[in-house]
Amino acid sequence: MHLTVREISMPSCFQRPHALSLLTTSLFTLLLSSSLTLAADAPFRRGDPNNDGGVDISDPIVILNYLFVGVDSISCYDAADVNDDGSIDVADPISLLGYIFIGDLPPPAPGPLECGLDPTDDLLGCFTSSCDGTADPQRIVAGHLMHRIAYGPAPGDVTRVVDLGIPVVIDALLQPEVGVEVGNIPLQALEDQFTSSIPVSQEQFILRPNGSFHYFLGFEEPPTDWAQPGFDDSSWQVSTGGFGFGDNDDVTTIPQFFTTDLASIYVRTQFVMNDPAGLPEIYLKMLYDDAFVAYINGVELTRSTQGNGSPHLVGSPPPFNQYSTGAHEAGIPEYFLIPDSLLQPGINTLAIQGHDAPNNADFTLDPSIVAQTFTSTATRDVILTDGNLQRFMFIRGIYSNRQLQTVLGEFWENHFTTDEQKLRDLFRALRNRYNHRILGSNTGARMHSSSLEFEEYEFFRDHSLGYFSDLLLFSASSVPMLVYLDSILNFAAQPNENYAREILELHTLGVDNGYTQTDIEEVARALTGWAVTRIPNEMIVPFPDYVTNPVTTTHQSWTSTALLEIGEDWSYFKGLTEPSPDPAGAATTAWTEPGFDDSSWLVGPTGIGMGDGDDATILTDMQNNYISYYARKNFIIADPQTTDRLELEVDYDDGVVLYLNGTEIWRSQTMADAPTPPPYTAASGGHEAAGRPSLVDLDHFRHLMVAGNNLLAAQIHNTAISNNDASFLPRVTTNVPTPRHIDLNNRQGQWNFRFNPAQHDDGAKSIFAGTPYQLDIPAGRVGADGVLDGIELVDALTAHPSTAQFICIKLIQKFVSDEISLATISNGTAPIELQGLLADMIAAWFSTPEPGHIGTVMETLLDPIDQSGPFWNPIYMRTKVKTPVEFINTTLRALGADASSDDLANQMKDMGMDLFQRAEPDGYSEIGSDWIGTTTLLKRINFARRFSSNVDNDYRWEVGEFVALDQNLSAVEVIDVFDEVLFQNTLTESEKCIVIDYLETDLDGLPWPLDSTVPGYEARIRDMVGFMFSLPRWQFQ
Amino acid sequence: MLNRRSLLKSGGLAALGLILPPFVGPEFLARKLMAGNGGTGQKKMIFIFQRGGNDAINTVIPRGDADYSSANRPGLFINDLEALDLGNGFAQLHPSLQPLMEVFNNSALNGIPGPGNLAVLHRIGYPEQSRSHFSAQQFWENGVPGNETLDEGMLYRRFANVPGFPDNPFPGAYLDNSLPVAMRGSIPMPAFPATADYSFSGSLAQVAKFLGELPSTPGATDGRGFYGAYGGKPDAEGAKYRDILMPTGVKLGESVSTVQQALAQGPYIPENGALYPDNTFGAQLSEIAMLMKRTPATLLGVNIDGWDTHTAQGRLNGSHPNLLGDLALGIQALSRDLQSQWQDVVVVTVSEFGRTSIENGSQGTDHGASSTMFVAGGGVVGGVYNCDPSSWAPGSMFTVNDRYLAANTDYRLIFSEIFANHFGDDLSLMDQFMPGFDAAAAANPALFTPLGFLG
Repeated sequence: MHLTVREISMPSCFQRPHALSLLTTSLFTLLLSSSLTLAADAPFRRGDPNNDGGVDISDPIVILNYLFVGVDSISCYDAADVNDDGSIDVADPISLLGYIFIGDLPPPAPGPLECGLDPTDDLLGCFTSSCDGTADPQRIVAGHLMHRIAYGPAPGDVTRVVDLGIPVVIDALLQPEVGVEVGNIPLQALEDQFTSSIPVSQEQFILRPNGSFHYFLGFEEPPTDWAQPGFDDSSWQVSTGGFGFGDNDDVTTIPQFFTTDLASIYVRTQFVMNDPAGLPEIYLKMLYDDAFVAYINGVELTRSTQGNGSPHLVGSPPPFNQYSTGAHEAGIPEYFLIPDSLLQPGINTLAIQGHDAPNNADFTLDPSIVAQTFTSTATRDVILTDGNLQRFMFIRGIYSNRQLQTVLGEFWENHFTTDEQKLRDLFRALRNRYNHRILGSNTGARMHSSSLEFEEYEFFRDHSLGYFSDLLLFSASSVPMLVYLDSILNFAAQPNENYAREILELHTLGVDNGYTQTDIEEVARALTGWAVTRIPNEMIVPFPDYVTNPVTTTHQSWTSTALLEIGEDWSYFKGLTEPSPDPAGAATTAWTEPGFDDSSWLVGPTGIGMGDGDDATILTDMQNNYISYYARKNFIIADPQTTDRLELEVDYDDGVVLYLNGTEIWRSQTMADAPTPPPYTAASGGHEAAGRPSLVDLDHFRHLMVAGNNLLAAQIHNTAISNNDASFLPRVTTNVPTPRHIDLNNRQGQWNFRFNPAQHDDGAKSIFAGTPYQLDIPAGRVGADGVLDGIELVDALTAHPSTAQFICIKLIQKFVSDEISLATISNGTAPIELQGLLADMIAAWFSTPEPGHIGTVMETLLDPIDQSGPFWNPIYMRTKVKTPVEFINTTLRALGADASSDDLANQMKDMGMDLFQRAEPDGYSEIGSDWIGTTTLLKRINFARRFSSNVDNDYRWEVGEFVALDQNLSAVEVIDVFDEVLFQNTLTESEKCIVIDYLETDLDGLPWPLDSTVPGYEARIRDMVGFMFSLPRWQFQ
Repeated sequence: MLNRRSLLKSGGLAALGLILPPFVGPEFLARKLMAGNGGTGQKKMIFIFQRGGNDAINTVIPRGDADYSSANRPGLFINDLEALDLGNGFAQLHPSLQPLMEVFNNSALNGIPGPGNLAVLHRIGYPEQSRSHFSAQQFWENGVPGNETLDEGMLYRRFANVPGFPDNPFPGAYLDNSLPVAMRGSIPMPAFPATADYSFSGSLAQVAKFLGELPSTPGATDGRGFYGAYGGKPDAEGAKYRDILMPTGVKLGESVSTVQQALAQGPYIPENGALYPDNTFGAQLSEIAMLMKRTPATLLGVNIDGWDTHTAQGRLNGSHPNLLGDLALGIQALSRDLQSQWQDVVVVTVSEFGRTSIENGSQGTDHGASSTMFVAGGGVVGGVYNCDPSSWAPGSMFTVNDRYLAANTDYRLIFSEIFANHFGDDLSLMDQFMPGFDAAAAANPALFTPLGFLG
């Protein structure tokens, strides 16, 4: 695309030597001392002192007023010196009147028809003159409009606005048509590129994560049949998956991956399933770092590969000392289909060899097996990284046709700011009921936090012109906000005021603008019980239904039936000796076998122990007599293959080791250092039975179970023989999940708002008491009705005039001028026309059936029909300092450049703005002075020059799209092209002179005429464009 | 002013460019002729802002007040044996502040026990304290409680009053992306998070051409390049923010030259075993020490963020103790590193408010009122101020709204003592540095009673 080169005016800086004479300099010193700042060599039209572009009767009047009335409205003294005698006196208006009315000679050059410099040195000068710029007013206004309701004009935009007319353009942006982005190929391609899709399905675990595995460290080759179902792995160590080292995402730490040259680990477990053919598709679900080969029932199922498809490991099987050919990070689980042909009803064997990459201190092997039912072909979008999340600000800012919504989407996102990092930290630390991390790695947690932040941003953008109450309620109930401002810690007994304060101060009324500390406390009470949960796909409902009809339960929802209850009789044995010693008298596990004869043991109901009154069978002789005791119990499992989720709960004091049918299945952390099996004399670390039993996922041990009687055995240990407290309180349950239930490790489902009635303060509240906006909330709202407190609060806040005032002020700051604030409104110093605009916008806020319709408020602000409001007032044009995201977007957009690069987020951060990552809840400033600083300016300049020079492949533009490269345009012509593109042809002559000087000077400071036939022509133009981006003018919009 | 500018005009770019050391534009050469000393012998300040509102009561513990108890602070209470005793029978420090004890106990690190160089100031605030972060920070910085719009800082006003300030290429800086309100004013000061990145991209010759030359007089159109644009005629006369942006551009060019010249002196090695925290804050303090030694700067500052501890604040371990540890280690390192100019330096810490005297339900604390300050330096009379049995009445922790610790001394009084007793400013200037100072002092004499921590 070539822009038409508009009227070319040769800047006068080329018509005489650059430097001023010493004499001139010293004369200016004198003028400076009288606090006049004069342009030394700005061009002007002699005879046009009022700077209106022509000579008419108003000009001599201006001079006469200056001379005789004492009114100085002269903007160019040189122009008033009509006879060029170096002073302004009565002769000047007289000669000008003569020229106008009786055909006398025109004033000496320059002027009155042409611009030029004063050929004579004198004390006079110009502030501004009509020679500054030769711009088309329509294009200036179009440029202004696009700089405010869009991220600046893209090539062709200004012409389009002029052709279509401003009302049409504004109307289209205020009410974007459905399908306005159809055919927007670059936008779609980039959005697809940085969004990942996961299928929507029902996921059921067959082998949940953190199962019980036998493992073997690959310091040597294991027996060749190690992966076979019949292999005897009893000599291998036993522990809980996942295995690994580094980045805190492993349950069983294998430090040898770091401390030795260990390359591999071999793990085995068994899982039980009913008829595989009757189940949906079965997958191996893997978190791994860096490589693996997996076997089902002794047959290789799959092995990991590099990005190009070549395997990480070679050989069948790969030898124990082989390292992975590539690195792979365990972030998001990967799925590998298991064909039914590999599976069998009953017990199946999963065996995996995991390998590290060389010189790598990070290793993870965390397998599980799931059945998936694909309910449709639908997918759900996720955002993998915070970098991708931030990219959307640029992708859309530059390419979207919904520019106003995109600008406002950024505005609301920033207004209701949340910090992705805080959300990520929460997910990283999150543990399931078996006390295992759910999203242990940064990568996995970041996908959830980035996706939730993205959903929030999507809503703000899509509804940016809708009702404020929707935006506010969405924000209040969004997972990122519930976490960010501690709503999830706002409990009835102990309110947390963090969100309550900020919703009043930052989101609605504005600081100290109509609320009290009591109101903060009452708001906090009204919002108690607002929480977060995870729900299955089937329960996902759209906003606002999930708030008005909230989920009140937790993700853990099942019907529990006890197979073994506390209070049932167990056989027990006092640890005065070993219950089943070997011939040498050492401990064995024979007493844990189902066939062991315990008829000589004592019998008593659980809990069994002593001290503090929590046991039914009291070991009165234990203290100072024995340190451990033993217990056995048969319980019935009808069918290990079909029985619903099996779980063992055990509360204990101080340590316990559990066995199922003769195999150790669990031991408390307090027994971690004791031998296997522990002797009767083994002491435990300290633990109190405090009513919060440890949970053991018995599903991992189904292969050990038989239909009918199964034997549970336990050895309970005290810390010391003198200790006076011991307890053993076991129970076993089978559990039928309700449709509400979701496993936190399940990739299906979604984090969602939850209202927790148990944590809601149901007392009466009064907010804004004693004002006309008093909101009384009655006591006694039970169950989910408690959520009405918050919903009514949102409506009350939206209807509060302080909210209308504060939000409208922020919109004026964003779109018109930052010379308005709550403070300048309250002390009356805000410009009067902005006060008027604010009043009109507040009226618009309340003009709709429901208050706070942003589209209506914005239409008032933009005033598209009359175009008489402050938005259109030239004094507010180019007075808003661009924020970093505005600077980057307007810069790239102006030249039609790419927006894909991650680097843009880093650039934005360097400039002082890190969207989605701000720690403070106030959002980034809309006030210009907050964005003027040495570093923010430096980073803008370095970025813009890097961009314009095309050294970065991630964002490029082509000079040839703007300048006809074969036509050898002059320097002035080239500058005029970019003056039009960037500034709608408004550069002043003095700015042009500096740009020309820059373009036509070499690195030695010597003149260097521009010539398209000499190599480097394009590079020089690029360098010049970078310089134009560095001008003060480009920092404003 | 004009002399300096005309100096810059002398000689062509190329001639200068050839003889300049790396990273140095023509501007710096001129500066060096004008303001060549490294600032020794001048009084200086290092300003550290603990943003977010520090829990003053778990920082300087009022052990002697029975309200400091496990009943009021079940998860945060620090017992007598864990805390560091300050020897006045009343005040103790959080154990994470251990590195401060070296400064507290030793004057000039001479190993001789006795009053050291650390003033521990408790209960500093102002009447009717704001509990909004943003308003409160504004007031602490602009020096005028209640004025949310004044975008000019009290530190700026004090340092801009020093003769030669407008011509000083590097009067001071803030180690952050942006200049805090405390240092904002009509003559810009530089701000940068790290010195290494504070440079223009391009080769020496490209940068020299890009920067160009200042015009012969400010606002004239005969400059060249970046300096010509920012030192010349604005694109729109009188339009908003040109009066800030244009001199900021000029200051950018000048300060980049100064900083790069300082870096060109070689890698910075802290002295006297100074060990800065191993994080961004520590790195920035180390850069502050470097700039104190190698540039004319007399005011350098930095933020330490993260004090808004509404949840899981941490008792002996956790976010608040970690921050205290960083702060203490940083002050200790500065005191060691800057021994050669320790008599000239004050290190001053502030935070916008303290926190609730009672712990909240999330093992954290909410926004409160008065807070603590630390002032360290060779001229500081070490000791505990406003935290002793004679001035701290029972119930003090609940004087404001039954929730907060009331102020005993106005922060403006603290700064007036620093300005007057450290920098030697006349007391009559305080009302200029902190508008409304005299009236406030007259209205609240108790809050404005000097503490005498600078003699």
